[in-house]
Amino acid sequence: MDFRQYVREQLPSLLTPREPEIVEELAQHLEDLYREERSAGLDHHEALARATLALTASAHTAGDIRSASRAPVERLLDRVHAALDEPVATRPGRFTLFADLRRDIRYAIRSLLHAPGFTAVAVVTLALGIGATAVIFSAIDAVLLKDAPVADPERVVSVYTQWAARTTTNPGAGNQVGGSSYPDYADLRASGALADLAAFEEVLLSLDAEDGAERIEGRIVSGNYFDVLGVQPIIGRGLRPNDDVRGSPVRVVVLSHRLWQQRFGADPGIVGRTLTLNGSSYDVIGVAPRGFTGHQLGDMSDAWVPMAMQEEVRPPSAGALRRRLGSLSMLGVRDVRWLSMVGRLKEGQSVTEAAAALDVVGQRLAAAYPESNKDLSATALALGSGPGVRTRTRPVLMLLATAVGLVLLVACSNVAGLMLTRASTRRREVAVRLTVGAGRGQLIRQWLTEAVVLGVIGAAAGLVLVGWAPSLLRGLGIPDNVNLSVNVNVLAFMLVVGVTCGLVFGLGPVLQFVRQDALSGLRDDGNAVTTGAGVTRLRSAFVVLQVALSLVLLVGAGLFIRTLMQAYSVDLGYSVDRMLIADLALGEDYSSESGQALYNDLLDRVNGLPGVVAAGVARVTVLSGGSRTVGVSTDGQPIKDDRSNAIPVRTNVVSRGYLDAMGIRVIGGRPFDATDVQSSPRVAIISRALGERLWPGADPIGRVLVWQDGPLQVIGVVPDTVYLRSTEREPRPFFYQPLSQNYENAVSLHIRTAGDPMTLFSTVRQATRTLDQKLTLTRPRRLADEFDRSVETERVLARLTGILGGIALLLAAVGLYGVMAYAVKQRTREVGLRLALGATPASIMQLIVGRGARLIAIGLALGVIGAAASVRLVRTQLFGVEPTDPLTWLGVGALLLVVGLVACGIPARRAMKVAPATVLRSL
Amino acid sequence: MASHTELKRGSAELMILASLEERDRHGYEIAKLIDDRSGGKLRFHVASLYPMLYRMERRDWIEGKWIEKAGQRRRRYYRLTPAGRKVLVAQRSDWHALLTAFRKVAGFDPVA
Repeated sequence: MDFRQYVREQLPSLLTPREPEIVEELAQHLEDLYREERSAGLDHHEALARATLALTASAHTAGDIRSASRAPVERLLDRVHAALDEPVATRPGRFTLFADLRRDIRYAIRSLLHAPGFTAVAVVTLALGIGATAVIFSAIDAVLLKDAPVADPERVVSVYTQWAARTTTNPGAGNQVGGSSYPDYADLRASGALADLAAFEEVLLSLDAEDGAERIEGRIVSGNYFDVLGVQPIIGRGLRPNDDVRGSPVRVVVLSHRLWQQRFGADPGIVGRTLTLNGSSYDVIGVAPRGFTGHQLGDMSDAWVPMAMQEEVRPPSAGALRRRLGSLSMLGVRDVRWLSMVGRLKEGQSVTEAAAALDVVGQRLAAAYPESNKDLSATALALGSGPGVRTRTRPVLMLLATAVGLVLLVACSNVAGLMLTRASTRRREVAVRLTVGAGRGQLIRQWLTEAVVLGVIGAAAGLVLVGWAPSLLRGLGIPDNVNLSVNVNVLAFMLVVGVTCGLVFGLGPVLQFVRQDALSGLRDDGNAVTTGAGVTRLRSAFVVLQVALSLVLLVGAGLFIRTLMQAYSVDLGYSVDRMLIADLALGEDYSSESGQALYNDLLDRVNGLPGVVAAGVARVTVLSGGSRTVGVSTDGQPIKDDRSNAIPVRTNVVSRGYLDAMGIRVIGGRPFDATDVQSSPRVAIISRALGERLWPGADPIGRVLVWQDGPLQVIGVVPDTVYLRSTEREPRPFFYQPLSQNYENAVSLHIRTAGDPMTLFSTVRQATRTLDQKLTLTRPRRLADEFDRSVETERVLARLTGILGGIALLLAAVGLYGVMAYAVKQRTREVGLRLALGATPASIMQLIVGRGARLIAIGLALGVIGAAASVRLVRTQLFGVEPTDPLTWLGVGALLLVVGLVACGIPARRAMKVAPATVLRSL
Repeated sequence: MASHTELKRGSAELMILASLEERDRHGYEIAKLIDDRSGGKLRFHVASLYPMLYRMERRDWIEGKWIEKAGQRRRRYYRLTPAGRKVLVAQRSDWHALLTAFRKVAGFDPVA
């Protein structure tokens, strides 16, 4: 009696190198027992029974022995394997579904692990598709879907002044909204159209510290601001209406959580401390909740001060306005619209009702104050729907969402094709299982589970891409303080997408099961979907789809890349190289005379510095997004009340030397010079387009330009230069006025340098200091960088769509390669026969590549139709190219063709190398 | 007989160690010795004996070696290691203390 055999039977899979030893030892023990029983008088069978009883005593024996003899690491692996292999103990009743699911999931994981090649390719493909989708979703979630950090955000509205279209500087753009003046705000509030209304505006505050003054961004707000928003400070209190009484200003400030932590070390005794803002002492009365830096997306306010402090913290900036007002207070002026407003709806009031109520009040004001409020009214929009980050980025984000959707589709069709191939490989296994009695439903469930598991794994792998979201999406206009990283929403989204994709691409092979009967699987039925020919057909269809989608994406990307190139190639009219820009603000200490003198001295000094080629000063910097637009009369008469004889024109105030420094040629007349002073006639230099518009065909020099502030004599003409952005579609005409006749208390220094601009900054700053210790130059920057920033959206769009197009192309190429390789494998016999019968390898190559080329051609044709339909939608984002730009389309088509042919060529070459002899032998 | 099983499990190691105190034995000998000494009350099944032996071997209390004695086929003999000897002494004194306490509390004399 060989007890070793018996022991092995009782203890399967000990799975340890010591197995033979253990088996031997146990067998010897049993043998001893047997002998003992025999010598005690029992016969063979009874003795045997007794002896073997010792080993069958427990069902866990094998596990115990194995685990006792193995090291901890090995035991852990044992547990994993056991979990994957052993059937789950099912309890009857309602838990069966979960138990089955768990088993199916384990089975799915194991079977995926057993096909590492397939799994790896599928996971990477899905990671690219789902990851890209999640990146855009995270942006959409953070920008478009996020609630404002206020109480009951749906009850909060943005309130605007509304201009009737024809009275604006751009009549073609329809009704426009804008800010309000303080008296208008007060009246709107008092009217009771909303539950409450608050006013606010951005200010730059100078916070004194030991190491100098720090500039922080803040808001000047009406006393009820925090109440309207329902924002409760976490320490102290918010502003109250009695902190904001005109005429008796109280210097109090609420700090942001961030500022409190970073600058004041989260001092718990911060309330009551004083700090110096803009030279005056302010009491800290509270700290805003964490994460609140303003109620609008992208706000980065660190301090809130009462509106009553307006003269100190937000004096009028435009020189012309100061002269007109005669004082620094803007709170009593009805026609200066510098404030933004936010309000809370009444109980049960809708946004439309609020807008209507505000309109009524607005019209009342227009009737009561015709000089300042003619043709104006008021309106309300849901928070975030008015001008702002959300409205600006929405079109771009939607565009990108569509693009990633297409990429996801391409990825899914790739994986679907792969799964079809896999299904055909397991055809036999399925048939056997069906024959043996496995339920069809069970098999379908298993297959779908495997697909869903694959989808989820792909989604998890896509997390890598999402981690890069912040750097990928930089430059789209998403404010820096918006958190783009992975959060619960993004994770949930990825999970849902993963599961959905799994269901979608798992469906194909599943449909096959519905039709297949066991026998046909065991036979080699050429008609079934999962057989070679059927698979190839379906996968070819997928490839055609992928090629089409790739074409659409690549055409889009190509158009955006061309847009970017056009943006860079526009002749700006000036040179952006080696230009240093820095801001200078003369405070209240300077009158218009002393300020002008300072500017002259400063320019003289700067011009004398080594490394400076030319220097000038301007109120508005080009390419910075800022501009000043005024009305200019078209008929030489003063501008009428209904502005029917005015056109919108940009204007800038510049010093002598500005045009030189910028490299702008004067093409007629002369530049500003020392003869243009306060006492001499007021002059202007106009752009060529303005001259053409006002005096077509005639020489503008010497003519009189009439604008809203009076007449100006034209003394010079310059070429049309780029103002806001090189991609501006309809640049406006403009004119310059001399600084010497129009004092501005805040300007930007423009310096053309011989070398790297930034290296000169400290010297220039020093020169400023020597003139006046208290003056400081801020925000040094290169004009070249400003230019780059002005085309940042175009750059990012080009980059992202380029990447997405590239991914789609890669996936399509892989898909095409896969189909061709599979087809080749299926037809190896046919190829071998052909070669044996005398076909040349080249003709085989032709045959296979020909098939591939046909697929590509169909795909291109479909793609052209699809792209033609969709490029129209992106017209607004393009510049300098038409959506039908032939260069782009032809280029993309050629690229796809070449890549596709290469993808076919590789398996075709392999087909050529088939040795006919080996093939024939296997027949 | 749950209480029996619990006691047996806790004391099994001690019994095995003790059975190896005088000389080396193989698995069957160990089981037989315990069976005899306890008058048949404590019987080790193969399924529980060998896992325990292997565990104690991993903990380095006992050492197993295949030894071929004259006239016999080779068998796996186990011997106490110095560490195992220490454990034996320690467990013995633990059990002695425990049983002495039991005796006082439960009022019985285990030494029949």
